[in-house]
Amino acid sequence: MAQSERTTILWLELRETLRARWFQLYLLGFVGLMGLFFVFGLAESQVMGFHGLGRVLLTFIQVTLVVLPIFVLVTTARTLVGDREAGVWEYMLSMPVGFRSYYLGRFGGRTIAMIMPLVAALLGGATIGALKGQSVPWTAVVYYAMIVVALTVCFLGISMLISVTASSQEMAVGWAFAVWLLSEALVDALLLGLLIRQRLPADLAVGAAMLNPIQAFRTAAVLLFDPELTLLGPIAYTLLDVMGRPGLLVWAISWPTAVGVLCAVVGLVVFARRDVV
Amino acid sequence: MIAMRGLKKRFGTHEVLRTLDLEIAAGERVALIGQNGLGKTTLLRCLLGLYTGDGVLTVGGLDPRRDRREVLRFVGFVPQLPPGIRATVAQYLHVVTRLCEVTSAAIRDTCETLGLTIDDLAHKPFYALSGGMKQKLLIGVALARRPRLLILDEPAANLDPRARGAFFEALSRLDESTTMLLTSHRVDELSGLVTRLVELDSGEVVLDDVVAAAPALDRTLACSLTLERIEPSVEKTLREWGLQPNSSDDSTWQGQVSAVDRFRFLALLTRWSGLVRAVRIEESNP
Repeated sequence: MAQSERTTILWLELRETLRARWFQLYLLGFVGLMGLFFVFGLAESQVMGFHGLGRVLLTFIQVTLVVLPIFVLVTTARTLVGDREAGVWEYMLSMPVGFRSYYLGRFGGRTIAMIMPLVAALLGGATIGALKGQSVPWTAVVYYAMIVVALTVCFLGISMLISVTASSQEMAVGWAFAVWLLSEALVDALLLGLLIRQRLPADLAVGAAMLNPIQAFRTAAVLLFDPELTLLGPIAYTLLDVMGRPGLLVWAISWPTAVGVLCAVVGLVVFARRDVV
Repeated sequence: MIAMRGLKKRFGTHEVLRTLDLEIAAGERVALIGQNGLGKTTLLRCLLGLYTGDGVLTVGGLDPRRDRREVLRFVGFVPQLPPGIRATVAQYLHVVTRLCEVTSAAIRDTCETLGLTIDDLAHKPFYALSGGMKQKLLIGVALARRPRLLILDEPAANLDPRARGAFFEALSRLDESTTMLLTSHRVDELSGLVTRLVELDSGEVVLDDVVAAAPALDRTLACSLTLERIEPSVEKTLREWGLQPNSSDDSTWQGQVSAVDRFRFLALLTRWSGLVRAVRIEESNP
């Protein structure tokens, strides 16, 4: 019964998301971006030792790192709170559906919708590269797909928590921006600045960086093509030193996923226990 | 069907429902009236298990929060404002038929009786329908479920007179044991429809009265109206109420008015007191 309810809500969420203008923009943005990389010959150029499909993937991941968190946070938090304000929750939850099924169905549908364009762009890029006779770093493609999924789950989980706790769309968007700013800020540059100016213990800076999903994502993304992390800051280098290459690669997938799932579960508990509209 | 004892609901320091005691038996048609913001919608949300509250509240002997699936299986609900559902009508109906024990054919038939052909709207987003269409669709879904408890939050607010008549007729086809709880901030909206009036003020029941001789929901009255002259706005309104001009005399209009809506119709006539020469309203299908 609950499984059927969840699937029903998941399909509804997926279909509603696919119809939304912002999603079409999102889809066009990421898939179109990958296409543009090929059109403008990024795969044929070489900068700082990166070339071929590896350069395309790395550039794509760098753009994803900037765009994905804020896009997921703002659209999800705004849409869900907007639905609550527009009476959708009240009406849907007046039908015989469990709170848990409704919440998980929406979370699942939104996750699939947000992941699809990214994975399609990555696989599409690899396929085009292969058709053009370039060597495809399949390990990197698969790993990138996995960390993109992990990052999406991370920020969707945070967005779900914001959605059930924020009192209005404005508050939800405000919280979404605050989370994004914090996660973007706690990377190498700012941590290093704090380390020097405030004489913070180095372990604290490294710990903060490790706990920041964006730093984990960023470090792991570059690590595949730059094993010494010479292009990133000292915090990333220290992370590599502390965790080792395999540890860092696993951490970049497991930690953001854990953060997302934890936030989603806290959101579910809040949703099921308090007034839902 | 519904029992509440000492029901309280508070938002922060604001107490919306104060120690509410109320029992509603199966088959009763109850109007919950009161000014906006005095607790009607909050009470409905408690009944739907959307709000937590203090005190005892049971629907069909069950706790609507704890046993929400079991309770909501026999509850039909029409909200005050249509929800901003982004899915198409077909997708929305798919969800309803999957979650509730109702077929799309039953919904289609009920909507037809309300004057709404849903096949024409299947691929339109729900939110893009007109206010009246949304209301008819929501009512159609709620009635097609054949609920034991029907909760209607200002249900006829967006309906034109003909659709109101069809709505009352559709209500009359429900099983007699169906309990109805309807809210409005205006008594005249519901007085013809119910058997009991409950007024809420500041979260307390301040009036609980039986409505004497509520008319049958499907009863209509033959109406004849003679006017001094006809004006475009008056003509439009009369046609909306289903009245037609007499073939031999343009100033005389005739038609059927729902008995439930008779005082609403008379209230409408007061706006045209300078135009009305004669009014005749009588039983047509006693």
